[in-house]
Amino acid sequence: MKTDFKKEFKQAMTEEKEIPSAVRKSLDSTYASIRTQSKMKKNRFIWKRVTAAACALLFTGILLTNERVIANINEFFKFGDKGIERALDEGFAQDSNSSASDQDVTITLQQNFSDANKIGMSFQLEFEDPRILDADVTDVTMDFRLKNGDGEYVDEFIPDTKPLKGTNKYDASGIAMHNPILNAKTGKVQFDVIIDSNKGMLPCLQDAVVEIESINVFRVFAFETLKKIDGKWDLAIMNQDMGKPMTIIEYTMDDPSSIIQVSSAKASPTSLNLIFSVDEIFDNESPFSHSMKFIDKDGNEYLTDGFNMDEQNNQTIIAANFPITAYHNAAKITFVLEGIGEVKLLTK
Amino acid sequence: MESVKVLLKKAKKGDGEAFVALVQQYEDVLYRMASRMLTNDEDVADAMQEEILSAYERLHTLKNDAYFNTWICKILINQCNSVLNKHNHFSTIDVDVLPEQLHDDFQKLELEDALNSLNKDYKIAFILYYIVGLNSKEIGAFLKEPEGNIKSRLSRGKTLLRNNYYKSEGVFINEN
Repeated sequence: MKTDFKKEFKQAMTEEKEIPSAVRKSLDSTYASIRTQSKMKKNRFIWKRVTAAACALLFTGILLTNERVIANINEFFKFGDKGIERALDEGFAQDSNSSASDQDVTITLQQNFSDANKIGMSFQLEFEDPRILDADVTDVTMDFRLKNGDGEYVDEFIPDTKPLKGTNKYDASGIAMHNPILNAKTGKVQFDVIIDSNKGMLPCLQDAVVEIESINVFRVFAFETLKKIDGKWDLAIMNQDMGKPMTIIEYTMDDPSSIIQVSSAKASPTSLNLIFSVDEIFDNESPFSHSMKFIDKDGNEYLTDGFNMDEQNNQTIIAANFPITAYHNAAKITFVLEGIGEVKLLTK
Repeated sequence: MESVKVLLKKAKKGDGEAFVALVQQYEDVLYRMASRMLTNDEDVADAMQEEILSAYERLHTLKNDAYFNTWICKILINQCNSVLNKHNHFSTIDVDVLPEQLHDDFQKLELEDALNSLNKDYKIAFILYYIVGLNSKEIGAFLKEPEGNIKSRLSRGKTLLRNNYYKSEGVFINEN
């Protein structure tokens, strides 16, 4: 007799179920695949000592004199990065109107900038049918590859399911992106991207092209969470203006016997790239997280958002960018590593 | 075991091991969800595999870490829907096996059959309520539907289920 439906139903819905072997096998293989992908990604951050890339010295940024234009550009690249904000205020950005249309979407590269530490690109996407940007849409991103004029891929922001085309020789450390404008009425979306290299290894962009392969429209709390639009949008990036040399300020240690050994400290237009070592191997990154900062002569502090950590010859080597730029033109700055020590740096 | 918060922070930085450890904490719930929506193990395995890879790929889009649980469940429901749409799925029972089942097992199978026969909307409401552990208000937010709809769906679903379950005995129960 089926007498206690309520109890049986609840039991059926809540009972623990042993995962069958076919499903178990598939899950384990999925986990293994993620672990492998993750290791491949980590390998991208392995320290590779290369000849100092000095090509950035050859190029320049256009100095924008129109204050309104400068304000608009700053609005586009609002990532809370004081170094980038300072660089943009100084006119370190290229205007561009490179545009391509496919799948009823027109993408325009509006501005870009680059030095050895950071690359910034501001795109506008215009959807012919604005209804795609309904109220549930929270983010619009793109799968893209950035290719330099010599055919080398500088960075590839694509899903792990697609193969990489380049060799990751430029060792980009991370990417940040956001949509400062997302307008469902006009069908227009602003998509800003910052690529950074903790090791200051990004190349000068020369005859570079952004190859966009997909547009991703993300929704929250709807059955269809992601709409992917595959297509082909190749956008040429403006070369840096050659009219004015890009300032790079190099620093050296005031006290060469310091416990912190700085091997490289270079302030570029967007940030200061620092590479240093300490004579100890650390089990984890905790001693460096939130404990590194620069202090200038006025007592202003400059913190980093992230860093690369590596081991070599019983030393820990750290590489990071700080938002103190060549435009600050600081003659003397102090690097502090709380709990370990500090070192004064002077311009070379 | 590291907390969900710590694992999420590491996973968002690209630590695959942390992501795996995180998903493993939800593995049972995810399996129960998928097996409730789909009827054969192959489809369940496919949906879970796609769901986990998709979540790994899109983890950077998760804005509020506190919603990881519902976020990952939503991706799985979407994957299950996609499998169902592809196959235009319906459940089957191997009749040769039935005579060998014990009485309790047989009764259980009938309830499972009745559950499988439910419309997808009812199933999802049951899954979110009983397996994921959301309340009707949270389910409403999850599905972007008024809470009243969810309450009525849970209640109506149970009535339909009970009617189907007892149908073989010629009993009809109306809760209204």
